[in-house]
Amino acid sequence: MHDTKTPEIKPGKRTRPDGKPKITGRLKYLTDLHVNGMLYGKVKRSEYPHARITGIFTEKAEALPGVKAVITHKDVPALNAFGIVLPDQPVLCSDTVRYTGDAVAAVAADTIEEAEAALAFIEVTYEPLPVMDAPSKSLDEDAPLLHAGGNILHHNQYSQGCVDSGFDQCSAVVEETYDVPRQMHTYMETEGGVVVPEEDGGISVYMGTQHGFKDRFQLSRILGLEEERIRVVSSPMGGSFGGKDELNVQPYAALLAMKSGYPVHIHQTRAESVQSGIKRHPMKIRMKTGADSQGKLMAHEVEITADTGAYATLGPAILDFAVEHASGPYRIPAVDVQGLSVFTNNGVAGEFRGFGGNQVTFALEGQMDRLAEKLHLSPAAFRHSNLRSTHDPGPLGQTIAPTDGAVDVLKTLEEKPLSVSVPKPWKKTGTGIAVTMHGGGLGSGRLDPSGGRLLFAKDGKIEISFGFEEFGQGILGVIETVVCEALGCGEEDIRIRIGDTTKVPPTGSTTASRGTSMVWQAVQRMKGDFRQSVLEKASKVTGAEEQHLVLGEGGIFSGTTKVVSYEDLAGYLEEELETTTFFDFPVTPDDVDGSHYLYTFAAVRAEVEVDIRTGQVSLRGLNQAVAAGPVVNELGYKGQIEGGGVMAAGYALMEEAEMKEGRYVNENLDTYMIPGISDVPFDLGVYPVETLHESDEHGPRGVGEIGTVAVAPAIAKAVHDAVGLWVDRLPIHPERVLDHITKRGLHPWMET
Amino acid sequence: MAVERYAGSVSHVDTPLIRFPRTLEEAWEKKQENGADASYIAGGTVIQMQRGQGYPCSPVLISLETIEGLKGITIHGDYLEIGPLTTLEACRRSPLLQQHAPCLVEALISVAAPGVRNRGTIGGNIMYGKGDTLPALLVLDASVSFFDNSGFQSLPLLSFVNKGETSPDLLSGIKIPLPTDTERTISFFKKTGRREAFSLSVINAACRLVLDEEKKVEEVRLAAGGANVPPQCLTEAENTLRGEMLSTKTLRNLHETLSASFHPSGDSYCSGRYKQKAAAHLILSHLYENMEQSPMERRGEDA
Amino acid sequence: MDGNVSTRQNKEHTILSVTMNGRPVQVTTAPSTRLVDMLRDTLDLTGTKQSCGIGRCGACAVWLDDELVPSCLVMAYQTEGRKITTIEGITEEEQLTPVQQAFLEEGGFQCGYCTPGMVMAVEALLKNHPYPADDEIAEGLSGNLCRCTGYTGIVRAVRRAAEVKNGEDIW
Repeated sequence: MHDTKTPEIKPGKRTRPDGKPKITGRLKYLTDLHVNGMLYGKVKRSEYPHARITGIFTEKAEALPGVKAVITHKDVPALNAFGIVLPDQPVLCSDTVRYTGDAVAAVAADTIEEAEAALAFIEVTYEPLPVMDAPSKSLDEDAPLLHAGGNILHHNQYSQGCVDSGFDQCSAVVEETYDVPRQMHTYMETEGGVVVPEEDGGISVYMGTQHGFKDRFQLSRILGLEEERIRVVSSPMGGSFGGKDELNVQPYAALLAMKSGYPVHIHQTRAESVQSGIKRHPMKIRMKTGADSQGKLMAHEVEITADTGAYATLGPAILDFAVEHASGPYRIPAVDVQGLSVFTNNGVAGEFRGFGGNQVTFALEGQMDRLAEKLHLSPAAFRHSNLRSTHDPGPLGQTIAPTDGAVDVLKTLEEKPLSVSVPKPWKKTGTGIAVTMHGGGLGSGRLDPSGGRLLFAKDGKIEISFGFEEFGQGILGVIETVVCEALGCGEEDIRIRIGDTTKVPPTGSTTASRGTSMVWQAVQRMKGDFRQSVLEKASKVTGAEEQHLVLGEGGIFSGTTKVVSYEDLAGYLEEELETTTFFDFPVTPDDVDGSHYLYTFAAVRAEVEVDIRTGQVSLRGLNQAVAAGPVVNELGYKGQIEGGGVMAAGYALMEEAEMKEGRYVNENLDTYMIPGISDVPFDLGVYPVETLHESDEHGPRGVGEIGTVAVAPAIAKAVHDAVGLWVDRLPIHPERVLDHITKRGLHPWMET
Repeated sequence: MAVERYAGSVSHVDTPLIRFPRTLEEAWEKKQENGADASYIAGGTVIQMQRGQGYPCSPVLISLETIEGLKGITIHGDYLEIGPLTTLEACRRSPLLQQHAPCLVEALISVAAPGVRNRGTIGGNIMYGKGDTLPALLVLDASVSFFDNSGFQSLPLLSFVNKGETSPDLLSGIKIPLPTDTERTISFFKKTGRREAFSLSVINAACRLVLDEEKKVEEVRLAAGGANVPPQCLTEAENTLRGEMLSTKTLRNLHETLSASFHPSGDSYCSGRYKQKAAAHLILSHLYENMEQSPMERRGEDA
Repeated sequence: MDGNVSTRQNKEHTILSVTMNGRPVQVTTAPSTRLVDMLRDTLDLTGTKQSCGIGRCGACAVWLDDELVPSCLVMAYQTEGRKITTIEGITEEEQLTPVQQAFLEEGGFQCGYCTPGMVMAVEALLKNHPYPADDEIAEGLSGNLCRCTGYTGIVRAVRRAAEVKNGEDIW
């Protein structure tokens, strides 16, 4: 075993700093804000998945009582487009609509009823165009072009070794095509907030996003307004999961506010959010994987086709991530991965917790299970003999931080006992496991800056600022824990500032499991200088020697005696004492674009019960061993893995934002099903593996995504274990399961 | 304490007018006055859900909540009566229903969730036309009393339901005959949805049968329904069981009859064939557990 | 309270008398206004949330005369003369109830958006079932969706709150 080096963090069961306001209902989310004189905004979206706009008529709507402003593309002062990387989505469409969520006009009125009524009076005439509701249609030679550059958004590939000769050496080869669905984030708080026009001609945007500074940048180029005159308050949010990183209704509220001169509130209904919001990329993934007679993986061929929908958003990065993670934590000498992301007239697909990793992991782990069966090896043993070793390169051949994460999580999981399942009539039980590795940060070659600021303020508070946002993932708890542990101060001594572009430094997006890492890194970098500057001041003020002083709870201590409180010390400040840091997320030293350097690992065991009467699959147990470095905040870590696990159980068992001919079939939560309390076991096992390699000084990793990645394949294998059906499609539909069960003649009343 | 006053913002958009009749006759008259412009409203869960889905509300809503005497569950001699305005949750919790109509309670537990059941009424669930309580009520031989222009009438439940949602008739009571042979009665309601709870019924099935001293099926009712499956009695299937003992052979015959005679239509979620199979299996599995010398009993398994 | 509702005005607005978190309140509003909007917009009680608008998620749950109801499915006129309790009314001054304290300590919330409705549902559950079995917890909370916690933190909170309220160790 290697030596371990655990940074100085003691996991504590701290409660969340934003807890009390949340559980008493006192916390104002951005969609709860009431501003005097505010108008209510509504967006009119396309009636067709693909059409040419032949006319937009707003006069009738403008004339309605209570209506204060109506906007169309003509009202966009500068760039009529948005998109985090590629601004290819019109703010307000002028000539073409490419999906049913495309915005064509918007209204602000005194009341919500008047705004809703006005929408009906905006007349838009269309010439419908052929609907490309699948990548195969968009790739057809005669397909109309959705964008000037064609219907392919992005392609990426990776190969090493020679797969053809690799397959020649295999005694077992498995080839399968896996089909994974469009999943909806289903954050409980939909998109919205309020935009206030300011006297200087600028705006204050109180709307949730996972990257306030990026929203500010996007709005600046849409509105032709300098970034300094745009304030974005981006936190707190009632959930996001990747869905609120891209711009959504901010431009409409901003344009309406600027045109009307009044604050404008928009809060999308669930149905509007379903239409316009981004979704997880549906993908078809063909994998051909082979192993030799010793059970060693020799060759792996992968073809990924992603349906990216009407616009780019982060489609290219997600495809890159999928390509990178297509061989997972395994050593495979010959690999060939081809990935294609295709525009269609389906809903826009974009960032979603797991970021392409969930899709390929479902396929990859499916391959592992099929191969294990063919080779008559146990799923765990087969995986063990192919897992990467400590110093192996990453999946793209790049140098990564040395880690035993893959082996550790699988071993940890195996040590946990299986629950005892009581036989129930008409139920068949089964178990499945899966393993995954997941890269954190945005990847090599991407702008991935971060930082932070520590300030000893005039009121005596130690203020810690980050340009991050809290959407339930627990960043506030992480910040509190890290700062208090690093400095030795108490919770009441600090003030956390996030989510306001006028008050915090830019520290990159709150995505990609980077938050926890970046907070920890930043505080490690700042603590020395900060401590020194405060203690220097304390020494001057109290006369005590600096080397005898320490930061403590409530003030500065010499030994166990408090020599001065923070408040009193601050009274002596002429200027606030500030320490800042800026750095980039760690990347590989190798020149491998998009590749990751710090990975987290998970091993999952799922237990299911299949009802042989209806084909319904119930989740009865879900255990996850996770290697992500030290646990910073116990409740937060557990919560992210448990919650992520259940979100992924939904992906496996019931969630599909189905589209038919470019239209959403399920428009609300009565037919888009997310797991309810009856769908999950009451005890989910979370087993953190905290050890890092002795050379790893990168500290704790974020665990926002890792809990979602390997759950679906574990559930799929559990179903196979229970009733013998190989699942190659999600969500696992009871009809398919029942068809299979029927063939097996498990019902005593069937003629045999 | 001083009364605080608040005022909502005035909108120029028309909102539905609410009428508050004090009797069923008055409610009926108001419906006649307003025709298609008016809808009855009890708890309002269906109307509010439809409004939330973007459907316009009727300009006039005739509230039934101010009419006395429509709530409560009472026993009258050999039948039990449920007031149509009794909430679904009150029905679910009713000791009388738990004792005398257990399959209805099973159905109620599967309807929505407690909060919605505190607002929804059993009358509303029936008038909705596809409520989960309907198959259970059918196998309980429920009949309804209602008010129309010729006064108070009575009809078997299914005949009333088949009059349709837009019928102006007003439910005044739901009658269930009290069961007499409870020791020899097998009854159940089973539903499968899109997840374990708080889901539309993909398909549901209800059954009530009474065995005679020779363990032969003396009386049998079978019904099915679902979100997109009109409530219906499975008469051919009932005929297969009547007079027979519950044996593997009988169940196989029942299975064949169900396959041949019950054809629910498919929808965006699943095929009709799936609904048929799932319903059949749910019915058969319960009967199998109650079979004379069921293999499960012999093995000592819990049913 | 005048129960003679049928003589009231049925035009654009009606004047409702309700007991709002223990205080007598009069609200002038259209009778068909959704209770959730009346709470959030007219009374500025934004603790009650909106998420699906069709009664399928529980985020808008409040108590009407001590019964848990989805406030998006209730029309204003249906509250006349009745008692409404929202999440703001659960807390006495700055004191947390045992349920709320348990939520804090057991990770019963993350983003917090489903939390007001969930707390109302848990308080209602424990009133009806002081020692809830697993199936009673499941039924009681079946109408409240949570996307963040996976429900396990909530179940821990329910069990802990039941312990505290009953003053004994039962789990």
